Amino acid sequence: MTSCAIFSAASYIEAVCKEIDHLADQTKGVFAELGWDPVYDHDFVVEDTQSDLRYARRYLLSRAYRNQRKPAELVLHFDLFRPPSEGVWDGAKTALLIVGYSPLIGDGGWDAETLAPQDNGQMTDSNAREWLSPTLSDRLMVWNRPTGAADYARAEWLFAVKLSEITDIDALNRMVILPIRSLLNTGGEPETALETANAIQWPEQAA
Amino acid sequence: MLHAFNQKNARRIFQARASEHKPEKSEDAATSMVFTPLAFMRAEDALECLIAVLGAPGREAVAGRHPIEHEVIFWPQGQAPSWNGDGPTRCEPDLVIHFTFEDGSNLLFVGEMKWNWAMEASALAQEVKRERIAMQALYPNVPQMGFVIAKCAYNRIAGVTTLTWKDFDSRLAPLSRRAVRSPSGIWATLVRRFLAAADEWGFSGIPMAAAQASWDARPAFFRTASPSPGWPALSIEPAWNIRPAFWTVE
Repeated sequence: MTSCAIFSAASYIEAVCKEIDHLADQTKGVFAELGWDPVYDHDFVVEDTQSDLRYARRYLLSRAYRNQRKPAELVLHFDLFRPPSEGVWDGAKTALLIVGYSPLIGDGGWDAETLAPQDNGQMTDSNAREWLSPTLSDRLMVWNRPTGAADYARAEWLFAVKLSEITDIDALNRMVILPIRSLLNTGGEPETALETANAIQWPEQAA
Repeated sequence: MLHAFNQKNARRIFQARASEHKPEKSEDAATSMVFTPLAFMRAEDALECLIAVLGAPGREAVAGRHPIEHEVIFWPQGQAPSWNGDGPTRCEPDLVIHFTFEDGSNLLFVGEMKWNWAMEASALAQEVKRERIAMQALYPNVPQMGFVIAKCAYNRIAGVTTLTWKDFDSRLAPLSRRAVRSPSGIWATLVRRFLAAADEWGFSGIPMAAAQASWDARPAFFRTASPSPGWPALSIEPAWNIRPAFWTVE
């Protein structure tokens, strides 16, 4: 017990970060059990001068979808804080887990900046704002996807959920694992999975 | 054992005689530490612990029935066809918990625990199958609920629930957080402290408040310090306990 609010806040963040580590490990374990052959990228770090409260884990998946030929990338971006900005958004002033996927075709791939939203739901990176558009009831943002295409295993996308709602292992399955599986597996129902996960709805991005 | 390990920093579990020690003693110790308390609980509390860990398969097997009696047996000696198909040989699962209910058939939980040994999946499946046969002979006509807990993850093995120790820890988290003290809640809390110290702490949920946040940063299994390079004839023992918990044969 302490009367020092700073110590208390720092202790709480330490505890959250510890569980974030366990969450990422657990997620990797599930990917391994699914046979996706996840490999952790030790070199992927978040460098952000605006906030120290961003953490990311990047995994390369070799067998996540049928006929996969090269490793795909899955990034778990823990976005605990962002400066305030003009506008209203479902995810404003909320710690988020942003899940980014890329089949790594050509120059594709996520980094900490392209996965970082402002507090009004507009992506920080201008390139990301130009090429991302919301779909599936605005719960998924897809990069430059031709209209009508539904093969999400071969598209770059991201979705976000509220970190505070991942309160146990069942919530992790419902909010993170199942949406990813539904997006990468043919026959999955990603729109339903994202709704069940209570994934954040994104606004149209202003280029 | 849990209290001694958690509160008294007890790390020496068996006599450190190299001739007696085998790595699988760690497995036996972990099995006993985790599951012995269930022997001292009421049947319904012990069943609550198992259901929390096994989840839906356990609930379906119990189907809401009320237990009136239970018995916890470690390493029951049974017999099953040998690995090479010859005559029966000894077969003993790590743990068997036998429940009697007010109505319906009895139920047998059969547990196999692995600690440091990463057994090959097909071999584990064969071992689990032998254990099922052995227990069918000891407990005829009693439905079985098999489970495996190991450090490494296994793909589905027919007829059993497979968990890592981290999964196990994650499933204990809700039980340990209940506001009302109960035997199952106390058990879950103590076991989680052990698993945290053993670095087998799973994801238990993003804490909602500082009060929920706790972890044990102390290393569970210490390495013996090597002699100081400047003074080969002199070994300086650190102030803290450097003796390992589970001895290995050098």
